[in-house]
Amino acid sequence: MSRALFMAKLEEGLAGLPQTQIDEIVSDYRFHFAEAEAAGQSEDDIVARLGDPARLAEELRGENEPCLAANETPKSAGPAVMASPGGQANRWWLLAFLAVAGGGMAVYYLAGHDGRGPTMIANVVPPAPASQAPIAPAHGVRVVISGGQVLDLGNIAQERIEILLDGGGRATAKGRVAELTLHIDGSGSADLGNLEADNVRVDVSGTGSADVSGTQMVDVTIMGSGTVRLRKKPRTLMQSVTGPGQVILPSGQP
Amino acid sequence: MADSTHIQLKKGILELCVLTLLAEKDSYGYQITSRLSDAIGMAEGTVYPLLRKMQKEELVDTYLTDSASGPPRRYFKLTRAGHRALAAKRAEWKAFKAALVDILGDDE
Repeated sequence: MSRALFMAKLEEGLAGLPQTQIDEIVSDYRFHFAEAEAAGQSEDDIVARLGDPARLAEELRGENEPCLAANETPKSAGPAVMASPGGQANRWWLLAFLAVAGGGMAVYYLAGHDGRGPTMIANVVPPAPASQAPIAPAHGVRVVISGGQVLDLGNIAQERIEILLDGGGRATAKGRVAELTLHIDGSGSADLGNLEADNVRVDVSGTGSADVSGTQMVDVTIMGSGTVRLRKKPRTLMQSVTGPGQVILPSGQP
Repeated sequence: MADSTHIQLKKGILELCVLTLLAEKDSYGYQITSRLSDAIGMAEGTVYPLLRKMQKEELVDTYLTDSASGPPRRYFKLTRAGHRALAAKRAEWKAFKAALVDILGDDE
């Protein structure tokens, strides 16, 4: 099949979708043809490897139905809890440095393990590039805890720290930061009451809970039944709670 | 039924793979599709519906660059929400894998 025929069949299969969407989709495959040609592939090969355009069009129609996002957030809570059966003793941790995501932000992924040997993690976490040692940069650190691990970050003195808890894990830290950003997407908890921050942003979706201590500005978003407890009363408090979750102020009442 | 489960499973894994590749480095479409089709043996075209869906969910973003030889390239990059989705899916995958190992045993 030629490129022209592939494109014609694709467009035929997409007929009926809004023209802007068709244009976007067609441009995806135009880019692909150009990039694959630049890589030395023949037109026939490119078409063969792309697959049947009629079927692709069918799939693209499916993707354009509004059924996304809604099922995305709560899904992470269940299986992640399953991954940590009981929090036993014989457990070790691997801190894998994965990527530097621009702006001097280091990204750490924490993968916990139950003593079955490192192969499982090695498969899941790409190896660290040799040129990038896991040292904390001056600007900030991003810590990702996916699973049921407990991570004590110790005494922190950072400009920015971002903590992502995507399972039933737990993070604790003390010290001082200028900016604290915390995302809890499952049943995780963050005990950061002794980590004094100027500005704190917390979002909790799921059943997670957080203790934070922000002095200037605290911005809390809760979707679900999560709890955010404030150790200090900040100058400015912004909160948005959707669901039965709550923000608890230092005095004790919600 | 079994067939649709299989497709859903493959789609989920595909998304995890794309998120992981993009967390390593920003990539243009052909880089992603060729890498994945070599590894999992799938039609390269099916990555684009997924990328489009991920764009709509704001997990990935795109930007254009001029390449030294040939046409301008459109790169995909992970957004912050994309990094979060990666962490969540990684956790799901690990849990799923652990559950499978419990049942099937570890081949190592």
